Amino acid sequence: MLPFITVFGRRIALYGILTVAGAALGICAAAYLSRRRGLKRQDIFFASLYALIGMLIGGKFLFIITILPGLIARKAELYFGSGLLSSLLCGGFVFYGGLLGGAVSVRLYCRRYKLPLLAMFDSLAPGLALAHAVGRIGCFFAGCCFGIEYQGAMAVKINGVARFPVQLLESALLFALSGFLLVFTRKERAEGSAAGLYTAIYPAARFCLEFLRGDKLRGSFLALSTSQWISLVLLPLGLYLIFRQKEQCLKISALQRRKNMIE
Amino acid sequence: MNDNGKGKATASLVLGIVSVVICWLGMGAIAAVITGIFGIVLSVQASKEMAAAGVSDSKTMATIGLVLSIIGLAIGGISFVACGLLVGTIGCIGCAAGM
Repeated sequence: MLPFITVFGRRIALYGILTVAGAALGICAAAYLSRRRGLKRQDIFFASLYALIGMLIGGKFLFIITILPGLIARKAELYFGSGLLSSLLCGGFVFYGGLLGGAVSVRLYCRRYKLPLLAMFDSLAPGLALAHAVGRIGCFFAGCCFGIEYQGAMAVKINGVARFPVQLLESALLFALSGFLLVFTRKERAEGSAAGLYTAIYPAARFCLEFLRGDKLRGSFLALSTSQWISLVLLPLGLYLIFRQKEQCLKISALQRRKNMIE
Repeated sequence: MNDNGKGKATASLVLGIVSVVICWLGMGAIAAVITGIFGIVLSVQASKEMAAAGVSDSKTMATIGLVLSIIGLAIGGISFVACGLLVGTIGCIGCAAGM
């Protein structure tokens, strides 16, 4: 754990630095993919900024929803003032809330400036995985989003308890996913296929990783965490996007074959 | 009145400057994040409106506004962003309860 570093006498949270670095890397990756998707680099850059803003708002919104039952239960002890406000604002983020917020804001951008939404999602997907991978390293340094108690190889001590380094495992998986999506989008693919792959692979991985998480104060319902429930909703959506595009490609190639036969 | 995004470019520049100035001031980082967000949105809208109208005289202003807003948001974000629902929840409830 290394939550803070000191630069010129100022204590700075390493998590914040890595989150911002991850966002910058993600935006660069998205801009790099712009030509492959026939979108202007400026549009990708602007949509990435909108996504970032949506992620900040959505992540915070879901965080507040998740802790709301705890706040209501201790309502009598709470002092409603600037302390509560700053704690809520600085307290934390939930990735899935950020993902949904980002998707909504990109949709707003594409709708306003009449851009293809699925092509935009395809361009942003590898960058998103890359940004998230770097952010998870930040979680490791901050000592949050930690794993279950574990005594085996690579166990890390967080607040004196040996734990499984689930943040690093998730980060490694996200780096691999980002690399795979970058290679996948090198070739011409049907619109929505990269976004579909991200929406199918990440929730499946996250669903499993949640069993290795040890921070039990997160919201849960019927033995599954909030993130697992959201994963269960997103996974079919991702599969639908992949197979819908595949079906469309098959239809187009069949139509092309018929046209060739007639000619 | 349609000014082809010039007003938005000016507003984004002002918000960008405010964001960069206040992002260093402790809890001002939260305000820097908010002004940075508005600065970015206004700058994007200004750039798009100017491009659509074929006007380029306030383009530099919008670009500087965008850059300053991003810097303000990034520095404010580094100070303000904290992670961890556990840390967050304990901090939130503890601080709110005056512990």
